[in-house]
Amino acid sequence: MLSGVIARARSLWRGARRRAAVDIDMQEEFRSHIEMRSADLQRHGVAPADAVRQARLEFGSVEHYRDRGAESRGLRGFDGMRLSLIDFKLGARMLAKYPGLTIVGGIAIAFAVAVGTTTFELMSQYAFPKLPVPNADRVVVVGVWNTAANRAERRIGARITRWRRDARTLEDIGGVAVLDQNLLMTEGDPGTPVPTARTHASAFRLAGAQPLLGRGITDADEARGGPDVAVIGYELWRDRFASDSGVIGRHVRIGRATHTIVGVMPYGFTFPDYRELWLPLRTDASANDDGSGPPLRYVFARLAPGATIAQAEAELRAIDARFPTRRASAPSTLRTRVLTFAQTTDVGTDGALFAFSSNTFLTALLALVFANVALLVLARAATRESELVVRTALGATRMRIIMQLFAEALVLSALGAVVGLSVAAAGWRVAMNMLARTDGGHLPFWLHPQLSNASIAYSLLMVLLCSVVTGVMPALKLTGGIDRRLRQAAAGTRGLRFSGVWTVVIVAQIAITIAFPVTMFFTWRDAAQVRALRAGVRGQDYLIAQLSSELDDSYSTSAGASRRVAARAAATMRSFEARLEQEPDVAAVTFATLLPGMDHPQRAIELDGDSGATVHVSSALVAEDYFSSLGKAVSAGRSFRPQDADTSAHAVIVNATFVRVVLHGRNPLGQRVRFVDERGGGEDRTFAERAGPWHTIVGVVDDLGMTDGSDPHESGAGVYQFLDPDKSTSIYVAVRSASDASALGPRMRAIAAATDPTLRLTNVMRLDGVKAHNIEFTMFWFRVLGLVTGIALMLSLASIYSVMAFAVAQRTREIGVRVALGAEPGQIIAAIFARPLRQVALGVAFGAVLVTVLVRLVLERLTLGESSLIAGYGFVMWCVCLLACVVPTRRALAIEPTEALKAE
Amino acid sequence: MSDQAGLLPGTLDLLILKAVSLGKLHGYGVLLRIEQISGGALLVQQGALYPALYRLEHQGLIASDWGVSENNRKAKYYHLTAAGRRRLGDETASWNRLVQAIARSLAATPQEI
Repeated sequence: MLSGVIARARSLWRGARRRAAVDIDMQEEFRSHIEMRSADLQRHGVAPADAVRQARLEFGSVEHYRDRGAESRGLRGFDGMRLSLIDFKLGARMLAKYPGLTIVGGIAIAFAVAVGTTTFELMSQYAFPKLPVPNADRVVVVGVWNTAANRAERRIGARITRWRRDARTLEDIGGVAVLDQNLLMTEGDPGTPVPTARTHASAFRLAGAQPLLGRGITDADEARGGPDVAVIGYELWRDRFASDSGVIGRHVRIGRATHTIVGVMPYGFTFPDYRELWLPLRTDASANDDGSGPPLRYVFARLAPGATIAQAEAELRAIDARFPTRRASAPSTLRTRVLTFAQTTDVGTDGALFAFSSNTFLTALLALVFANVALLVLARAATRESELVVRTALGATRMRIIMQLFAEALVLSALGAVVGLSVAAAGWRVAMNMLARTDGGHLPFWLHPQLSNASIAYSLLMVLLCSVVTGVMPALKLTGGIDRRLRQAAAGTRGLRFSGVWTVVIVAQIAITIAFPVTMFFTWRDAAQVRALRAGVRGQDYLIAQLSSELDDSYSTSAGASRRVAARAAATMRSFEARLEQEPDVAAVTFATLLPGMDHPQRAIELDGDSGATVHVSSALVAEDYFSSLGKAVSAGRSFRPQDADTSAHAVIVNATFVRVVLHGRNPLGQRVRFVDERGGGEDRTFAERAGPWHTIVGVVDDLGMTDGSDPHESGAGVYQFLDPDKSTSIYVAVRSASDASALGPRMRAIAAATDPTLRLTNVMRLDGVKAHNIEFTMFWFRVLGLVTGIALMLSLASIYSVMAFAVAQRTREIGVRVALGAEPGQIIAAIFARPLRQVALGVAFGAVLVTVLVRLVLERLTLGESSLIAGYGFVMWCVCLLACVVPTRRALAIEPTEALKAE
Repeated sequence: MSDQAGLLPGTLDLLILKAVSLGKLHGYGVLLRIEQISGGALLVQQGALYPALYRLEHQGLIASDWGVSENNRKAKYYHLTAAGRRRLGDETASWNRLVQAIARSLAATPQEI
């Protein structure tokens, strides 16, 4: 039994693969047979010429037996599946003959391909990052986790130096720190903050790009006491150095030191995110203290041949153990970890979810678009039914007709795909370049602006799928029972109707089209919520700025020097605050990691006594005078005080929503909470390891906009921790002005420059500008959805139109007879359109149900107003769908009986 | 009435398997062998032999390779596979049972009823 199946499969495979050779073999065998028979006949005394003739006669039709031979080998099916150039030519001719279908179907397919390919590219690049270097799968990221403080330890300059010296399982260990540095072109230049990376040469090489001019960072640059060198980015070179080809060797001041430019990187080089300046990272081998050097964004390494991640982690931990630290924190609280690159990206753990949701969206979209085009193609093909019946009568097999319609669909899909792919490639390039340059848009370097081969292959697969759906499905429908229709054709009747699965297709696509704009509704609602959000302060009274103090060249020195730098930075910050407060218009100055109206990060917390149950709340670190400066008095308990700066104080303040939502109105004062780390790589740590120290709630404050209003799942409950501005390197400053807040901008910049040339101010704006920015983003998304919805609606209407037009075309003769017999227009409409109209009505009804379900999922309950809005929307969509029926109806009513009967 | 009989449907495959079981044969040889072993009683339409050969080969019951005929002509030779040998045994047994049953039925007399 099984051997029979295998033999058949093998024979089929051989035959299909060498179809022409099989034919030649058969011919050869038949010829040999006839020759032998002829020779036999001659031996029996038949004349040679007669013998050959008789042998041929006895054999029978060679063509006939060759066909039957192919059939015996199971190859007839394959013969019908072969496509010829003529099929494609015919397909191209069909595009020109039916421009309406070509345009609508082409736009639909182009749209599906563009959206599909872009989503696929985003998914593959973002969720499954791949470094642009050889053997990228051997690249790992090394991190140090501070289990006491529950955060990544980024100042690990001393450790990295030891690893570089001693590790055998890892090669090319290199760190990258990112920071902004002030670039001073000439003496007296106030300086401009430039996004900069300090990098080891080995890490720089991971980015895999060749410099445009000069050289990149090399190992020699890392030597202590060597000359200060800098590699600049394309845009810095173009804008600040006027694309001067003689820029190599020029000296510029970066921070406090003079550097020599040694290289220019090409356009689009972003490592480890958008940077314009690269400086060598120098780590100190003599330091045996942690906490030294700059905070490193990444530490890359490459696994040595044969080494595993587990071995590498064990070796690094062994190296760490040999060097006790002098710092107060116990060394055991720092755990070195080695992770694959994908594990370290933000989406690493959410990758599967991301991929799933994108795929679900894509599948729904593609199903909608392809079903639509299939309907259009079917409606068109139905008008060619006579042609197909004639072709069948002339001997075309069902497979042949299906393949011809498939070829036509392939031509249309290919045309759409070329347009879609071009749009996707251009859109992706523009989007990537735009995102990379957006202020604060830290786009990682492994994202690249070109579509990958995988995405192009994906789009080709979509073309094939589309051709199957839009070519083969209608063809199956049309050719099903064609023999029956072949007989009916003589009697002048046509039997093709949209029924069964096609009714489902029509109803489903109308329903989905109607449900689609609901996403617009949600986005619009988000925008409305963002607009309606009360941040709790008068935003127009405050000028804000993102503030970062540069720890400068001393980054590369030992821990002792780092402490001195930190002390200097603290002094700078204090001086800056004091100078601001002396300004006549300034009423208050405060600092925080985030300000009201900004999207605060959500963190998981556990309430004391809840044994492991966590809730998510917004969080921020704020300065001692934050609440008073924003005009909010603490409603219960106390505000922060200087003693809270002591890390062992563990005091937190919660907002009113926290008391209501998390504590259900219980007295918060004295309750204890602790933060639970849920960041990537936490799965192998126990809850106790992930939970931080307990904090005591010491006060309650009114809500101060801890969400930006865009996420309805964020309750707004929040926890504030104490922030010591002196120790922070990147925070927001908010200044309350007694008069016009915007007018303070230039003064604030001048004060910053006068305080310290390395103090950088970015995003200087009024506090209410934050909200405007959020609304702008939501509205941008709203417009994108509008475009998508518009296309979906256009497609839907086109298919309703084609279904109705199809009904009229199919029954022209019947309408003619009815008119001739004196039927009223109403009766004709009822008779002809009853079925399509029922389908449309059913679609609208299902759509309304779908909308209700979706809205309920998000909103949980509907107000009367929202319910009537949905009902009204359903009615409007019903009217819109009816619009698509107008032209076919008019056409039906305009049918002249004499013409209709003549046409048949 | 001629001594030659047309084939019963389904019997050509059995005859081919039998013919090929007696030795490697090309297509024309199969035809001659069937004529020979049936004493010239069974007539096979020449061209019709080949679809049957291909069907048996497709099912893995016979296998083929190109060779040279006794007259120095290029010819494709068929031989029985192990699966074909099993099938021949089964089919022969089943055929014999059928023949016996029919013979018995035809020999029935009113007395036996």
